[in-house]
Amino acid sequence: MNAETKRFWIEEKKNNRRDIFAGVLLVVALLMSVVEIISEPTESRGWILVTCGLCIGVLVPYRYLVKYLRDDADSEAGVFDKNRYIPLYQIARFNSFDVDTYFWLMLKNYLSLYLFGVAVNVFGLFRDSDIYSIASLAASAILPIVVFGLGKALFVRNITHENGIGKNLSGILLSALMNFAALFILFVFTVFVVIIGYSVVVERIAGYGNLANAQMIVYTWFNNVWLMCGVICILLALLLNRPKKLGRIPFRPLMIVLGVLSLMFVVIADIYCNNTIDEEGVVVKCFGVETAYSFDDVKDYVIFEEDGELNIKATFGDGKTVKLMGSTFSTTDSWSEKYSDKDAFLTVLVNNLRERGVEGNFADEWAKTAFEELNK
Amino acid sequence: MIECRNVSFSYKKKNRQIYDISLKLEEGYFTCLIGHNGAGKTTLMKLLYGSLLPDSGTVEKDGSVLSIDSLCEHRSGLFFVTKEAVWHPDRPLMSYSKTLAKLYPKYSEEEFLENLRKLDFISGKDAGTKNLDKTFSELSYGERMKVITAFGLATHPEYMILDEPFANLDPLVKSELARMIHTRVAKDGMGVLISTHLLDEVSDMADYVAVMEKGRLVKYGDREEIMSNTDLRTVLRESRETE
Repeated sequence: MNAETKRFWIEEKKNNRRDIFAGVLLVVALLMSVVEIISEPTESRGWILVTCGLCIGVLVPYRYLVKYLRDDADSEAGVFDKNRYIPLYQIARFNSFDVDTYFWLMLKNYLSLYLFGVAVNVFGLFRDSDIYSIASLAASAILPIVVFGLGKALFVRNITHENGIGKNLSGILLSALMNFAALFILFVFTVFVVIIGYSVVVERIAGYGNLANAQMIVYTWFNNVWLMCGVICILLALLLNRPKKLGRIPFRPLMIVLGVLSLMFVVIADIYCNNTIDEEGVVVKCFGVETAYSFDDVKDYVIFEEDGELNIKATFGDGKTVKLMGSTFSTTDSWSEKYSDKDAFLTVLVNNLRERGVEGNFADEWAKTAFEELNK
Repeated sequence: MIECRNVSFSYKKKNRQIYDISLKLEEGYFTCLIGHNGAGKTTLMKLLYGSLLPDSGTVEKDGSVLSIDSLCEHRSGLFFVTKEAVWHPDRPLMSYSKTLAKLYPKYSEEEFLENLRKLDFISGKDAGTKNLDKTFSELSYGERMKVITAFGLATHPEYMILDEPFANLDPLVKSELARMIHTRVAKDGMGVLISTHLLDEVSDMADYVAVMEKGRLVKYGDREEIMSNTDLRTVLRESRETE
């Protein structure tokens, strides 16, 4: 290991303190994954770990290789452009610099986080060895190494060649990532505004509608999307060294605000918006308001298909409509004895309702056939 | 000793090329590289430093052949002053020099400041002058070369390669810089390769003179021998007039 390069690395780390926040973000994301896997092993959000793997792999080389410097001048033409960046290889080209040492230190810096991510994935694989867990483990284990390997190869090439290729490539990638993220966030926000807006208009003006359900969609079902939005926004804010502007809007503060808001949604939705089902009925909790509904109070229901599975939307006496299968189910022994799985609960509930004279409807033929098959 | 043997190099998308050049850079000797614009002086210097790798031939330092795996070893004790070298554009010069100095075990901050004073970049005894608080992007081309050269000398290299260090400097500073370099050659035994159009500035200091033309080394030898060659003096004069 080259002592001088190590000293340079230590010095440079001090100037890249924002990495700490990136690290904290990654740890938080990983911890959320652990909680998710433990609490809901059948619905583990393995993709979060994929995101983390990508973050570790992409963020670090970017911080230390690409974003190190701004291309402040074309030395021959004397043209100054304060918005262009130049990578560390420009420094390494004309100084005594040990690439092996630098890359090893860079990798070592994130090794514990990387290993933690892999360990969590291995744990997830033991809990639920589906294709997603396997893909997640492979991605979190391989991607950072691949990115590091490619980064090093590119770096070495660039310090011994006249025209570096990493600079333009990273610029294009970053630009593409930013545009994608901006469009994605715009899309998500638009969809939610439309859903809420439509529901409000229909409920308030036409006198019927489903605002509560729309709220539930926004706050609960799209939890993953909010989480992804939050992570992307904050990552982009971290990646930008200089305040890039979208028109007159400063991009970085905007990203931070959107990211924090999105993550707040996740936390709030998790804490405040969920339905809990037990043998008697369902408790709807949202933003501090808790309402208990008994299954005896169901006036109507619709059975429909969602993500390839059957779901039931029950309408209670006060007009409240609740999608039941997306709820948290009771974990008591008596529940487990009575219902082997969610489908069993669905058939028992529907049969009970039919006995009470509540016939309900099927959204389509597929739902009807699927339910009858289940009910045999 | 740094030596290139039968080195050839070509840029894929450019016409400038180096053809079969052999040159030595010895400790304690001052070598001057002269040639027209586009003759290949900068490319040859980059090849000697390891910023480019030759297509054929070898570059050696103390018997070790330069390769992609020995770049750091090759560059230790070697400093390259070039207009392409950049410093951090956002950090004050003094702050960044401390970071960059980590790569050089023999670096002396006092000497860096002293060199900057001699080159008229800062004045007085106070190190905290305004110029040291500037960032690299705020400097003119000439000022950048002063800073990089002063820093390079402060790293106490065994060899120093300087690409057009006198460009855009005023006459007094040029003389002082030439004197500083010569002193290091004479006292510390530093080996120097310097490219310039201004042969008069270094003609009395150079031990060897190498003349390049269209990517080839047309003449290389002892200063007296080169300077006594009438044809060559014409080439050099033309070179200076072109500049």
